[in-house]
Amino acid sequence: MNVAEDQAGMTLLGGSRGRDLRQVLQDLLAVDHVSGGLIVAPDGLVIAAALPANVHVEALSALAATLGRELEVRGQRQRRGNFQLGHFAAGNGTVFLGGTPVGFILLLAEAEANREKVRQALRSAIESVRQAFRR
Amino acid sequence: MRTTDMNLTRLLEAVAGGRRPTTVAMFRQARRYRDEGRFEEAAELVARGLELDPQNVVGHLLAGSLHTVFRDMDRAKAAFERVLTLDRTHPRALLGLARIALEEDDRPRCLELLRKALERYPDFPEAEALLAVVNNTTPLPRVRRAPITIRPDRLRMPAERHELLIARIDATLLLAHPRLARSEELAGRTAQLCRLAAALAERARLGELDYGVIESPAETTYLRADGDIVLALTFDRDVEMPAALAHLDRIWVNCRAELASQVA
Repeated sequence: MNVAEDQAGMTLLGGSRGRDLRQVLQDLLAVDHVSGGLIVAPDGLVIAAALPANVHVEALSALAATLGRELEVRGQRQRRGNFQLGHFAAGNGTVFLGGTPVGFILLLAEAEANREKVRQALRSAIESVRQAFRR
Repeated sequence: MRTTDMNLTRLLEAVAGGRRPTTVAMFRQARRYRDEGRFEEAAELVARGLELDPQNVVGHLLAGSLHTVFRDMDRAKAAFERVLTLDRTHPRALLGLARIALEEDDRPRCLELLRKALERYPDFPEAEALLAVVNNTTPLPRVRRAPITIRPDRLRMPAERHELLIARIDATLLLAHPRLARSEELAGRTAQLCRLAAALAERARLGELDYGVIESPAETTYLRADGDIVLALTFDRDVEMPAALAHLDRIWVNCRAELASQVA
């Protein structure tokens, strides 16, 4: 029995770039003024992380996974469709959060960052992960 | 033999270096796969390992984690509960169940589970971060609140908006336009979302939350919040972000003025 296919309806598309989640994060970290990021599974498990030294990965991953699930649940219950991405602007920068079949991609951008550029890069990364882990 | 069984056999042989694998080795390899994002392979190993050793705490914990990845929350819950029958204060199982309780809007249960996890492991940053948010979500006694009426005409709402919602940060609905059967529930979820986003920005050392934008296929929701009030405005996806943010700012200012006038 293929447990994964039976339980989740996920199909492996071998060789797809979005399958390598660490590389996906590395590519996003190359965007101008992105200061860090992580990829976290819905249960809070960190798959890949590169954060500024003063940011604690455990607390951030726990909150990112919880917020990501909250956005997914909100989308389902309120019939707003699947959560795709969100950004949260604060005094010293912006948190970007994107939803994928295997978890959430979080990026931290400095205040100087071009939000539209980061948003587009994240959107494209989400799409490549979705293609790789197509349901 | 089915292809998937052959793959699994090869996988198990590889894990054990040609010998019959122990469940310890299988779960160790499953954990490696999970940590690498190879969830399907991890799930196969865990299922096979639990067939051989149904009382294995690590196996059930991994199963719970993987069911969560596949968004099968009922099975995740069952797996974490099974762990607690084997080890009643296992911190990871308590944390897993606490997250599910929060999703189910069962805050008292979530608080209970997080506190139990922190009693066992006081240095548990994930549980501590969630506890700080959930503690902040416990509704204040409503009897202490003066009734507030916000008049929609004072807000100067844009015609192109789908929905407007104003709530207290403790999830009390103040205004929903249009008012729908699900508006109360939406107020609760939106307030929770704002508290989580504010905590995330703070933990990321980015300072106080200014605004949020949530994109879904058909519409975009714009959020503002402070320590007291949450405002959510939803537009069609074709409304440009700068225009929507300008509407959000204007309504926020009008809303705060309206609230201030009632306090005065």
